[in-house]
Amino acid sequence: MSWLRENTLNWIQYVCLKVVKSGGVPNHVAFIMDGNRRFAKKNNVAKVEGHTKGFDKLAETLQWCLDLGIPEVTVYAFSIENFKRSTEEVNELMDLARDKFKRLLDEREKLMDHGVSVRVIGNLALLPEDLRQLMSEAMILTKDNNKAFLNIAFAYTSRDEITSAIKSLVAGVEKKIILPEDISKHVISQCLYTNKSPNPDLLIRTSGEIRLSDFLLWQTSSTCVYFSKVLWPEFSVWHMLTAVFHYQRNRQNIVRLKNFEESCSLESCSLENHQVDLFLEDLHSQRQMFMEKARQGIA
Amino acid sequence: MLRVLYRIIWTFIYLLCSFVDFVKSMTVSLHKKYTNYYKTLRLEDELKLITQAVKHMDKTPSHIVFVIGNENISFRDLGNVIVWCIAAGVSFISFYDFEGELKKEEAHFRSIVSEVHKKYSGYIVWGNKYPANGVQNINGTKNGMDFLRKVKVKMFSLTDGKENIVKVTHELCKSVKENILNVSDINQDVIDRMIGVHSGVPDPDLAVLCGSLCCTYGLLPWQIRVTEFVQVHSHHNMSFEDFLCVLYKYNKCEQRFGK
Repeated sequence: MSWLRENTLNWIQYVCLKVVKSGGVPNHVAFIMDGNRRFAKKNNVAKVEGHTKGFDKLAETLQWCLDLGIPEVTVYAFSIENFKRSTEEVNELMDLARDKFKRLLDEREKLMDHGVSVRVIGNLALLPEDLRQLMSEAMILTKDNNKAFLNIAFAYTSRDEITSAIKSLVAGVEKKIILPEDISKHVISQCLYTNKSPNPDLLIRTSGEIRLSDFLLWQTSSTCVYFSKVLWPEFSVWHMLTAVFHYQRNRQNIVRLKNFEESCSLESCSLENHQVDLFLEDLHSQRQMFMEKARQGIA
Repeated sequence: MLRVLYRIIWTFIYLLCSFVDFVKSMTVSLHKKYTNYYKTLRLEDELKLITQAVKHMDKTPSHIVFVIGNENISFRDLGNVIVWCIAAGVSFISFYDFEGELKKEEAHFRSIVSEVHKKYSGYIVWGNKYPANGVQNINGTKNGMDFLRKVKVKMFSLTDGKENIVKVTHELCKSVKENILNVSDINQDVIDRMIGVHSGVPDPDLAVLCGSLCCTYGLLPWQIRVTEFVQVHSHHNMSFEDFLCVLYKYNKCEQRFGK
């Protein structure tokens, strides 16, 4: 099953999509794709089949986002907490990921044509080396694309991401590259895995659960959250359009909240700091080097 | 040309939905005002009903946070929430508004609660710093209400979220400089403990979002990892039935913690 599918909408759905699009769409939508295993149980199929259907739904959703003109999408594919699942299921998920990333690399021309930049955010050191290699290859291949952005959270939790950022900053202070007073909310944001992305405007969680499960907790302080009862593999374009419309209805409040948050940051923000810029440049190039080594299979 | 047509259709649907929401909202508010005015149960009976209902629940939250969102603050209604939490055996009740109005008006809030709920003042512990562990639940024995437990009340705002994480980072820098800690010792548990000291409360089990927008409003980002979010129409004229409804929804949630 391909990452980028051709249009799967009938004409009524297409018209409704155009109507919703005319109201202004979010710049960045995040998805917690929950409910694959419950879907599998409901349809009496194996769990891995549920996850495969989940991937198909992801590909379909990406197409809808492209049609709507939503430039950035982040999906919660695999949490660090998911390592607690049975070895069998974890291995099945890793195999599925391997298969899909190989497929993604096979479709590189399509990706380059569409200008999609793929990023994997998470603690990649926790993953098997060959999977890390595939992911790094995909990231390096598409890093200069800028028409659409797909961030896949894999081996990710928010607390792990924040901890990693804090450790890097404390190490920077220890090496006297930056001072403790240089560390602000803005600087921490720049150290997170999501530093290249704007904060999500809309977060959709499926399957009826009403929690965030350690996903983008720092980044979603002024995000419109939409909880949907539908299981992820059953997520339809109507659910998508309803979620986007819900965001449009709440956009003014969201903007007000974002502005308030920004005004708080401006008060405590210091002027442009050359040392901090150097530190961040160094941090990002270290991560880039790790990716290069992973691609070559030596990290 | 088509784009203009789509926009017209969108605007029409938008206005229609806004109108429907407005009518719904007015109906609910009026209904609440009416039932509140004509309610027949005394507060003591309401509390007994809450305690009874909670006994049949598999789980009740130990820390609830009410997120006020974009609404004007009704201290009287929030005071009712505190007393219902006492009856439900909730150990910690926090109130959050992103602009910090609650913190500014805390003294006013306290005076309203002591005035309206004089009887229950002994069960309410206000304040800034509590140990996150070692909650002591003491059975109340006044006036035959031996089913009541003490509740700790705190106010939070936007500055208690990311800013506390920044403060913890500064503290870690200091500890590393003074050789109390190595960078390699820094992990999630260390940070979690330090954030707990700043907030003075355990992680919220349940967040009640008041208003039409479902959003965290910057609420304690580190601590809301597995918090269940239940939305209510408004905290204004909230009834004890609404409160029980929230607890029932929380009770239905099944945590798998990644498994």
